[in-house]
Amino acid sequence: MLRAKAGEQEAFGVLVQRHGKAVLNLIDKMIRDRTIVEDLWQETFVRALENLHTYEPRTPTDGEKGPSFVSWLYRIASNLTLDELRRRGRWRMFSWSSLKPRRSNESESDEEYDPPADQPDAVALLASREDIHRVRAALDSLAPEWRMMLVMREYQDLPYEEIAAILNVPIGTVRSRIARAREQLRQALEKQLSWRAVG
Amino acid sequence: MTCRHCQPLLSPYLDRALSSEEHQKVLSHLTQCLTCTKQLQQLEENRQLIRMLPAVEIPQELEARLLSKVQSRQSTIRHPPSAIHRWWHEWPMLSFGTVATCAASLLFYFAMMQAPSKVSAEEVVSSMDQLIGTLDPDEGERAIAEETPDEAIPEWSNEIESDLFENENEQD
Repeated sequence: MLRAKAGEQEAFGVLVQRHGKAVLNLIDKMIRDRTIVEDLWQETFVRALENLHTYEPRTPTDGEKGPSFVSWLYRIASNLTLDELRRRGRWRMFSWSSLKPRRSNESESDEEYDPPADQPDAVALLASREDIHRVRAALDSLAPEWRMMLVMREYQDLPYEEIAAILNVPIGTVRSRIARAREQLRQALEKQLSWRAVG
Repeated sequence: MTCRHCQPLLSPYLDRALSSEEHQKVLSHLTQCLTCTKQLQQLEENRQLIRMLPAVEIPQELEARLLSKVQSRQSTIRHPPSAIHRWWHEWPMLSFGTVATCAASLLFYFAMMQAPSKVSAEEVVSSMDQLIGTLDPDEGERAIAEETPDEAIPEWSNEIESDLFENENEQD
């Protein structure tokens, strides 16, 4: 990290290799459009490089002082992602598609998610594709901030303290919002199951 | 503990984020309550569903694209733009406005340089005094005389003049 801070290109490449996947997966679980995901991922690292001088690396003597580097990256990525979702939300309010009647089982996000086809078994692939689509649609129904917290907690397995530090909110807020997000997700998934039963 | 008290604590219970005292209370409630136990199971299942979402790998070409982008930006970082350059880019409208104002001010200044300079009232008075000083006081009368030759004087004025002359002689 210090070498990257000193401007070493190779060291920066190592940072990308070390943390790139985690950042990419965070953004990917928030936004379905792969092009936008990749753009935001690139922008995260470009901003990180430009602002490396502002990051104070956590040293063993500092204890809890300052975020870890990956948390700092998550903060940049989450800010960019939430900004993008807010911008799209505003645009959607005035878009023609928002006037179209939405089918009851249609998610908030109208892009089709194309999960990577790396499943070995065809039957398993079909089953998981359906489940994946269901979960993603349920996640999409959550408010972006709640979704972000839930993804950080469930997918990235981050503790409340770290989520609070990344999103700059009190721990109590993280705890209550994650609880509410889980409840909303449960309801959304239940709705989908009932539609499937009716269908 | 009742279900109403237990249910909001299920989420932090799942995350092991409760105090040991709260944890024990929830645990003892769960051993007796099937509804809350089912709800907890549901939360756990949903967690597994989210964790089941496939992880994406970084495409090689994406990493290469990022590194080339960074390389091009690195030169900008090593040779940071001047303060004026940064200011211009951060506040383009303000910068343009400033330049336009300066240009307009310069134009106005040069326009004023071309215009006749203002003269104070004192300067006018002193220059008038100088002008008057250069004038010959008899010049006016001579000019009148030149402008009014003898033939221009009417005859009746000569008659009046001769009458007056005669009257003066008689009195004598």
